[in-house]
Amino acid sequence: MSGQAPRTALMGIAAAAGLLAAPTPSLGQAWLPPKGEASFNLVYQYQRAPWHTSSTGERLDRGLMEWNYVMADLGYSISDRLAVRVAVPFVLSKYTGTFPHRMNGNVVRADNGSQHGTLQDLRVEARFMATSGSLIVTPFVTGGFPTVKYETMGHASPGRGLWEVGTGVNLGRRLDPFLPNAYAQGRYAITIAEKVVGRPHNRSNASLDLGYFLTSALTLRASVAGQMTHGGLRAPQDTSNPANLLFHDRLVREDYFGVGTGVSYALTGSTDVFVSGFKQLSGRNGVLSSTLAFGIAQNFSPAQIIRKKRRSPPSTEP
Amino acid sequence: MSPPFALTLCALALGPSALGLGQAAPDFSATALDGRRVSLGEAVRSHRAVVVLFLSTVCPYARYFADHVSDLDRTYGPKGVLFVGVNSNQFETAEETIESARDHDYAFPIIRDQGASIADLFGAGRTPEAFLLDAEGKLRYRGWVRSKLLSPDLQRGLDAVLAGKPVRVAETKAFGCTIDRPKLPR
Repeated sequence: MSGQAPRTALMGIAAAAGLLAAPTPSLGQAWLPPKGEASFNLVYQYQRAPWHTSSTGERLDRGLMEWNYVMADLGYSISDRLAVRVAVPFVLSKYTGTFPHRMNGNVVRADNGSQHGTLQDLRVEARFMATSGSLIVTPFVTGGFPTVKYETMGHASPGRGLWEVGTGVNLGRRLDPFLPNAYAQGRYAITIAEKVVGRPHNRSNASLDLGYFLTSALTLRASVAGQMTHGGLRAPQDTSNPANLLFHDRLVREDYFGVGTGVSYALTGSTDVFVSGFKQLSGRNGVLSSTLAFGIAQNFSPAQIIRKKRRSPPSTEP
Repeated sequence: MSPPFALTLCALALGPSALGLGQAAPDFSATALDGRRVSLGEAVRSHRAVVVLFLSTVCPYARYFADHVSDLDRTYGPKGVLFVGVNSNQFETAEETIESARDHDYAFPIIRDQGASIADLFGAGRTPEAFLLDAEGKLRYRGWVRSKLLSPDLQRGLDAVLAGKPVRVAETKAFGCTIDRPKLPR
């Protein structure tokens, strides 16, 4: 072929990406949509955690925690190499069990057996596609900021209520000629979280994601993902210390490893629906959960929409 | 609109209907924006293959693949393939289409499809969306120019047609922007 070498940026390979890799919706992919392309994703995610885990990985039955997320996610490609996204989840959480957190003898609100809903943390992300060859390298920065003051103590607290910033890199590669219509994505992120009582509890997340286009509309995905927290409190050595009672849920040294799978289907050339699941197989100092997510992703061109709005009456040209 | 850019469409477009694989493409003739007269029937008879490609000057994906389309035209034009660009978006103008063609160095004729009659004839719904016709005018491939993983399916279709072989992936789900058709009178 003559002329410009084919650019390998693409393509919003499904809004579901990233959801598998974390217990709460996260962002991030190696491929970027082209300049001017926008996406709106609406995702529902159910997360169920029947187990706590100790610092040795032992499973402990301390009751059932459930979270229901509804996340609105808006993305836009400023250029073929730079894309930004912003997302806000609404969380509905519930604890069922006989070991609720207590404060001054009273069960905390998050664990009182009822559903509690709140907006969670605003998430923002910027991705820059640094290379466009056979291996896509896309560094990114992320941020998370609580939108409202919500309860942070309790098994079923909606979140940690802390700001955090992160950076990392996505790697993406098509697998042809070995496996046509397939791709692999890897991701590593380091997140610096707001300290609690002066203690750091930053974390590393890594994931590997394999995708296969079964047909031009149907994509299958499988992933593995893990988290390692640097710092924080161990359970139960540190978390059972009464001095840590107030903030231990925000500060646990949570590690996990899990696997996920998903499928997405292109209803039209701009609308995808998807469903995905993720299961934490092992973990420490946290919970073991299973997650099911489904949603719809709508891609659109704001420029085209604006032009249509401004569309003049039908021309009289022959 | 000045006469050289005027579209004179001679097509029996009664409404949108998808052109099926193996079906003969409906004939149409029109004056391209560079003044060339394009008759699909004549083009098919005089070329080994014809690619009817629905384009847009605004759609991000159409713009993104523009250089690839230009490369395909340069590569396959000498091999007897004619590319015919069609802009059916009602909100776009002939001037914008000409400017965009200049920017992307398109050497093939582009038709301003006022009224989206050609889009209706082919059942095209997206930009970019390609329809590959063989020397008999039969549809051999329809869908995206390249996949989301940049799989060059149109190019593979061209290679197969020129080699007289079946097109392995003959239909793909075009993605991109919806073609803006005329509003129906209430």
